[in-house]
Amino acid sequence: MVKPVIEVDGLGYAYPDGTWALRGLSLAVAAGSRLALLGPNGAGKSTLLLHLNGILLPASGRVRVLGTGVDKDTCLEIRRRVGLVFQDPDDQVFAPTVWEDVAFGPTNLGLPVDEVARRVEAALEAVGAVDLARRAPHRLSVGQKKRVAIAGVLAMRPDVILLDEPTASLDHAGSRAVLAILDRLNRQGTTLVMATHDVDLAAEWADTVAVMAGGRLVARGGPALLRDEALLARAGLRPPRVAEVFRRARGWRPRPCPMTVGQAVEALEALLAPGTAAGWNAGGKASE
Amino acid sequence: MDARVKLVASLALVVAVVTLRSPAALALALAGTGALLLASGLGPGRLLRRTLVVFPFGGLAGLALAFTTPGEPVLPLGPPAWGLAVIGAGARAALLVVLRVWAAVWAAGLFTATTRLDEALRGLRAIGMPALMTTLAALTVRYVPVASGEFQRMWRGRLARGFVPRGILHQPARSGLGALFGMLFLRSLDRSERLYRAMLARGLGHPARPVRAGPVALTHALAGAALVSFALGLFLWDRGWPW
Repeated sequence: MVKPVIEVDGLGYAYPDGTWALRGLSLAVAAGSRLALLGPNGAGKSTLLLHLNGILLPASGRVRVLGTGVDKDTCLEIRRRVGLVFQDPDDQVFAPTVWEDVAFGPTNLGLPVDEVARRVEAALEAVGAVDLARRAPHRLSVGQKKRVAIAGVLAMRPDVILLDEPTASLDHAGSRAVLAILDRLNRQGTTLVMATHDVDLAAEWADTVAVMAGGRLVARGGPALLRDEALLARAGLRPPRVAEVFRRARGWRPRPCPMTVGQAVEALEALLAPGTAAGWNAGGKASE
Repeated sequence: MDARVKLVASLALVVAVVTLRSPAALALALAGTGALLLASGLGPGRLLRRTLVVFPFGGLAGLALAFTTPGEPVLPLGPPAWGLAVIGAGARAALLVVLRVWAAVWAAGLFTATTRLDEALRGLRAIGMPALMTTLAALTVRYVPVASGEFQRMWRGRLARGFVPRGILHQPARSGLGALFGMLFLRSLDRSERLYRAMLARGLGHPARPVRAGPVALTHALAGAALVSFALGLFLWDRGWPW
């Protein structure tokens, strides 16, 4: 495995009302990976992200990010190097204009004015929001606000970006735009960790999947994990829709079900290609 | 024009007009600020709407002065037994109060009506307003629409489940409204917690270097100086100087 940029070991955390959100969770995230943190509501995904950014500190266990242990002395440095995009952009984008909001992070880093301006322009460019620079955030659509929230994090030039349900409440075009930005960032070497309960999104997007339930890590591995129906059921999740279609087609077994649209298309093209005998008959008996 | 220059010029005009004593000087101040507001792109309709705010405040004060200032009655109102009459000196004092408030509102409008919120806040910060105050103002403006949207959604949620509002005297409507405001307060409290965390996530708490504003352009400085001179000229003319 590539050297981990995030190492979580036996992490436990209880909220002030005594509810345990994380119970001895351990996880490693490789540099440059796209990890989907999958789990139902209340699994502890958002709480884990807050620990990885140094906003919450471990009640038990330890968290190391980019080789630095997260504690009260290092949390400011961790926040500089690990960006966190919150689920609701209205929780994050607060300044009177988009430009000022994106400048908030770099200004907090104490950068010179020129450098702040350069970073803001580059970040807005990266998310295609240059034309929004002078707009007031409360006049933007949810998709635009989400892109601005990502720009606010990009302007800090983090090595790792954590995203809490980045496509929640976005329409198809908004989701596509956000995912395209994430793809580009990942190609440039940024490690991405996305908390989501959208199994289809995880199947399409992630190269690593970590399944959480009840504040614990249930499993970690490649996207193939998402074929494990028993595991997903244990975590209160369902299989990807595409896999569900192939699973129900009795003649497809015992071959592994495609999980993404791309894999499904490949499988169907192979099945329907002239001269091949890979198809199955209506009775569920695969052709030889 | 640079927000800092506008702010200083506007403040100078406000201070000058509230000290004016002659209706003629106040009329000149109104003509000058009105012309500037129209020239800045504020339409006559918006100018009129801004003017209307003068009357609930200046009008009421003026009305009280018109009847209570010591002097000779010039216009008795109602039966003599009431003893109600407009006083000559009171009418003049009332006119001056209304004109002063009116001119001050227009003078302040030179800044408030022609400056974007972010520029206005930067301007206020540049002349020494504490960052805490400007940040609070910015957050208020930013989150009023968010809170209002939440309130509307909760209200619609009630309507969608058969709630029929029957005016404020209707007990279920009153208690429902109270519950909604309570819920809105709790949600806002939660949001403020999330917002604070989001600010921490982007480095709030780092010893940041304050962003210094750039220099004021010469043309803007000259225009500002002209406005301050106008304010000073009004004051001197009102006091009978240098004649």
